[in-house]
Amino acid sequence: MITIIYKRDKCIGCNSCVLVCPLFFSMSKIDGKSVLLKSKLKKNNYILKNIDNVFTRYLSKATKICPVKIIKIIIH
Amino acid sequence: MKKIELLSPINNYESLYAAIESGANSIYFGVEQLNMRAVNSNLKIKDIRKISNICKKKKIKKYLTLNTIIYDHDILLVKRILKTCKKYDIDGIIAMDNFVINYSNKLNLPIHISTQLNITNIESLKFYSKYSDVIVLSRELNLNQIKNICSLIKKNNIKGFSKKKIKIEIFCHGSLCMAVSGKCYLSLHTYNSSANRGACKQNCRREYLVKDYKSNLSYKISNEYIMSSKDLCTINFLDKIIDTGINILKIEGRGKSPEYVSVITKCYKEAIESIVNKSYTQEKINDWIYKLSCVYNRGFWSGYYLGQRIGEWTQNSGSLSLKKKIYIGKVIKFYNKIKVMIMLIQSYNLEIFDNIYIIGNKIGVKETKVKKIINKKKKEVSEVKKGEICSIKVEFKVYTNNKIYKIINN
Ligand code: SF4
Repeated sequence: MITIIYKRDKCIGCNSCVLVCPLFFSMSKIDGKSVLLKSKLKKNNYILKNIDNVFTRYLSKATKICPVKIIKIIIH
Repeated sequence: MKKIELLSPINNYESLYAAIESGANSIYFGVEQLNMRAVNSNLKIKDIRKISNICKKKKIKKYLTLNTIIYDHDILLVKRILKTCKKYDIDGIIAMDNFVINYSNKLNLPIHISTQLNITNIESLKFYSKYSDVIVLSRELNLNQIKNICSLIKKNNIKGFSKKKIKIEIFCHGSLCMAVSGKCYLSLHTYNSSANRGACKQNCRREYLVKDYKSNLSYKISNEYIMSSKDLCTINFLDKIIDTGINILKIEGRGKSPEYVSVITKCYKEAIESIVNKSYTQEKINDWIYKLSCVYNRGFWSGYYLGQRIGEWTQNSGSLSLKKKIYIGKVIKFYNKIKVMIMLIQSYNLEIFDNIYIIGNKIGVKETKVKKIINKKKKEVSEVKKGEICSIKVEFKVYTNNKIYKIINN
């Protein structure tokens, strides 16, 4: 299983994660930052748990492309 | 002689107070992610009101920088920022995107055309003057070109959006881009980190190897950082700069420390004043250059203003500053009547005759020399170490939790 940890306040709204992982990220029209869909906020981090391992490669594209490196994935 | 406005960069409240105390006539700042220092931007929309109020009290102008590339998903945020600026009387928006310009016009918020738009001739200036009141000229122009543009504005009486004569702003000090400003894609192509969204990774500031493909040998390129431009410094020909007819002198450095803002603002303020009252001497210039080189710099050159053929490249990766500051502790109490502060040493030590900076909210940056140290047992000592408490006398007001730094030679 995979957990995504997303430090949203540092997002510069470049749209890259949405381009490579539209299944998980989408741009907010309200504050221009990216949103990790269906995630929960815990101490400044947005967290999404229990993602199937088949998404490992797909999600690592987002962790790599983010210019400010605020998307992390943990594989359990 | 007309009044020259000195415009300083701020990135937090410490640098705001530093700019004010050092004599800036105006300040500029960015909020949220939509400015060219997105990655280390500390200020948020809610700070607009507070900053504006402080500036109003101190009677200086305040401008907001909103000069990145703007995408569709940014539109609401842009509107929210601009409406907040209007509500709290921000004096101008430094912009590049046409939507930002147009929406500010609608709100009757004055526009400064950002250097990101690279205005290099009078005709494009005329075009933008319909929408703006200040034009920041391209940093790549020389003094003759600037003079020419300023005299054509006068001759043709070119007016801005608010029907007043259009003003010209240029950079007088700070880092320069190795590319034409705003047209560099190195960071985007190598790290997907766009400089034009405020996330420049500064590829140009590094050292490089050239590899011979056949033999696989690598060579270090001389001893220069071939893409890392030295910093712009104009204090030694500021009279010529002012003589071109410009109105606003801008200091680069929203990414820099409060003491940087303080020192640079102070020196340029003094220089402008001495040009006005005709006491601009070589001796003073030498003194200013020494002071400027004590804070962050990559070595100085005159930029493109004097018409050099090519750029000058620095020989160092980081700062060449002659002095540096180290954190030693904080103020825990201050007795205003007798001007004595109690401080806690949290690292290194404090010695008699040390020069220190006290930095913080409300005071900006203050420098002083320690002439007497009294320890906890009320004894006069020559040194206090980490973990100890001591009291020293200062000439100005400080506040609890202001940070104290020791200034040492680099
Ligand atoms: S890639 Fe990173 S900075 Fe860009 S929108 Fe996504 S989270 Fe934000």
